[in-house]
Amino acid sequence: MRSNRLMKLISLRGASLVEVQKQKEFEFRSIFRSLINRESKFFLIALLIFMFSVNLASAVEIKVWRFGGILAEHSWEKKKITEWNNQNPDVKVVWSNQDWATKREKVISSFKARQLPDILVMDGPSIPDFVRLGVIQALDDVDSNMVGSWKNRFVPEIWNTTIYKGKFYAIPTYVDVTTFLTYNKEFVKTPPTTWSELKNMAKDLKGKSNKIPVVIAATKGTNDVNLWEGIAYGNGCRWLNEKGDKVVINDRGCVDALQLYKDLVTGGLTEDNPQEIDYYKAIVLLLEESAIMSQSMSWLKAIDSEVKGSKNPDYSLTVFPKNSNPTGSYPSANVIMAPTSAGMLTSQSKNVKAAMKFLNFFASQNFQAGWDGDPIPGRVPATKANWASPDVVKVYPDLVKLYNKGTLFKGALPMPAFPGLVQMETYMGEALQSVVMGQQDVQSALDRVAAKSQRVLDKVSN
Amino acid sequence: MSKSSNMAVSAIHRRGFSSRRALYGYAWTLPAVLCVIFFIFYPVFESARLSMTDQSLLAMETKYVGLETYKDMLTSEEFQVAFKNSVIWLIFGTLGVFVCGFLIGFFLHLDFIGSRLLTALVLLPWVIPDFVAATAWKWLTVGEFGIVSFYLEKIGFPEPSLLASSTYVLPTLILLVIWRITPLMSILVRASLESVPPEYYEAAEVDGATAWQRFIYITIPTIRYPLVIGTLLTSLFVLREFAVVWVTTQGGPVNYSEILPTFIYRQGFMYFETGPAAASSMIYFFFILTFALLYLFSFRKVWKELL
Repeated sequence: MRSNRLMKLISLRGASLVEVQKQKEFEFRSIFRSLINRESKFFLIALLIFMFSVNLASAVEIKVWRFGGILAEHSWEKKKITEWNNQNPDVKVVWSNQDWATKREKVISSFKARQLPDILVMDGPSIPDFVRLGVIQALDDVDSNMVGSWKNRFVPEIWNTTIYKGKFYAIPTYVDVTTFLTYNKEFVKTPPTTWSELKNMAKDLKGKSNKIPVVIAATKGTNDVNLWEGIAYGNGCRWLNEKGDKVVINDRGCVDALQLYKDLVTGGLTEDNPQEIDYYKAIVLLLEESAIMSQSMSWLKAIDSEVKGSKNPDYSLTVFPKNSNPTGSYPSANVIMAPTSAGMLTSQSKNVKAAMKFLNFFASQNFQAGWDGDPIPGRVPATKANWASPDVVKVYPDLVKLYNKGTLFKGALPMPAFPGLVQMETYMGEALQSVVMGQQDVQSALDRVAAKSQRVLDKVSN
Repeated sequence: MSKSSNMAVSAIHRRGFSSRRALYGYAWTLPAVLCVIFFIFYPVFESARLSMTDQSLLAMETKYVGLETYKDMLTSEEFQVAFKNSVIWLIFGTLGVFVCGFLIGFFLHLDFIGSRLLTALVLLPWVIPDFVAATAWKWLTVGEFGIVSFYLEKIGFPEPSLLASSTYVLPTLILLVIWRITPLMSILVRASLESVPPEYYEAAEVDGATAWQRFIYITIPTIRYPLVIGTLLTSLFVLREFAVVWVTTQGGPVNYSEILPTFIYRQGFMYFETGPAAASSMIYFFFILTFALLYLFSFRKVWKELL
């Protein structure tokens, strides 16, 4: 009896809970019905029409990712973008600055997630990999007439640095040129022009002061490998043969260029541990007057404005000394150069027409004018008009003289750029380090690099 | 209605009501389950699938190659160096964290003025972001500028530029990792020591136990569960370190400080060799799993007692 009463209570309780649940569901359905009554329907439709019309009326948005750059460039670009957006209400440019160190990772991740912006502003040596991956598209395929209208504004050798397999992919603003020798004018009156002169001068300076005679950068970083490449290419070295199917980095010209590094280290003519000094620290050592000479790229003046050291040495730049008798199998390159901030159109742009309209502005002298030495120092400008500007003479007096003579870019080559190069340059960086640390002889080190790089080349060529 | 039919109805109501409750329970856990599937199981599965190919984003075609990529990785000199460095990293990193963490935790457990403040200060290396700590250590130890190198040179140390030395680069980075992870272990040890009932020590004292005997026969057995877990956790933290090496040396000079995380990163994100990178990461995954299982098996008696 008792258990029956209990069961009844439990079932009644259960039943009442069920009833409460049902009541709640009923109330919920009633609220929902009231939401979709006639008045609410009209309101919802009106809201949808409003949102749609707002969407139609708003400007086309173009996203631009700009990798790296110095403060002066960012300020100039911001000014120009504001100017553009005011003058072009139909095409709104959203410009964002991105970290240089992780550019490849960012671009590839975004590409795979279909989240690329319309335009990338980054380095020319990335072009072969990005073309291979399908990240960017050729600008002359999109609008050959527009591209044709830009061409004559640019220095031809610089224009050619963004051409890959016969197609034009990016609009340069400037090039970084390598390799230069920066020297303190108090200690070096006439800079050396050959390797022998460099070694003799360094020996002479070593005896006279406690400063480092000449700094070389030998970390595994790309910039440091580029610095070596500039010297090696000047000695007739190349990464690939003419057909582009064989790695020849162990050619005699390359071996002798690496031997130069080893000679400087074994002669005590450079810093104690070049394997931990990168291009930036090399310049800091010179600007802090701990070193007399240093290898550098053309952007020294750009870093100078940001390093702001306690000392202020009177220094100058000249092209890095060459081997008096180049030993490589290929013509000696005067310098090698690459555009580090070039505008590219991505394959995922949904507003190609609007993006090209902006790129037309990007290629105009109005936008390019910032790179004539003022307000942006330390960049070798890409346009002919910038070379005629009085500001660039103040930054690069020697280079302007050579440009006006027609010899600056004579014999200048684009920096090496082909699929798989990043991996090969890492192997080269390791070889540089193992040689300066005395762990390998030069020929063996370069033979290893050649063998490993050939495997990479064969893989990406398939 | 009869009694039996009433009971049947109520039973149906109860079952119906509880299965709806169960449904709600599943619904509430569904987001967490989906997260585990999408963020853990799916990436592992995809990584395993990719590891069976020779995929390179720069190559035109991708082929299924089975275990060939694993064979290529295991026989490659760069991978072997990175693996060897990772094993050294694990052993000495974990040992260093355990010893230093235990000593510091024990010291913090002693009641003295300022012990709480000191506990907070001890946490600082753990709190500082890893890339900040790595950058600071890099500038402290660089040959031409670093203050540590300056003093090492003064005392006649053979290779004062620690991060440029093939001999000292890995030990220096292991020291950095020990410095960073020790606070975790020390806090764990301190908390464990606080949980030991004081009556145990009192009873032992009454029985004439020395300080050392109390430590060996009371302290250690009482805190062994958190010690076992703490050591496993810290070893996993040691193994997952990436920024410390990447920011300071990027695996250099040459490849003397290359560990598997930096090797895998370089393969996948810099060389775009996603197949080999996936194979390397699967090898690393099984290495960590094997280590964790062996470790837990070694301490199975502890688990049995705990359970």
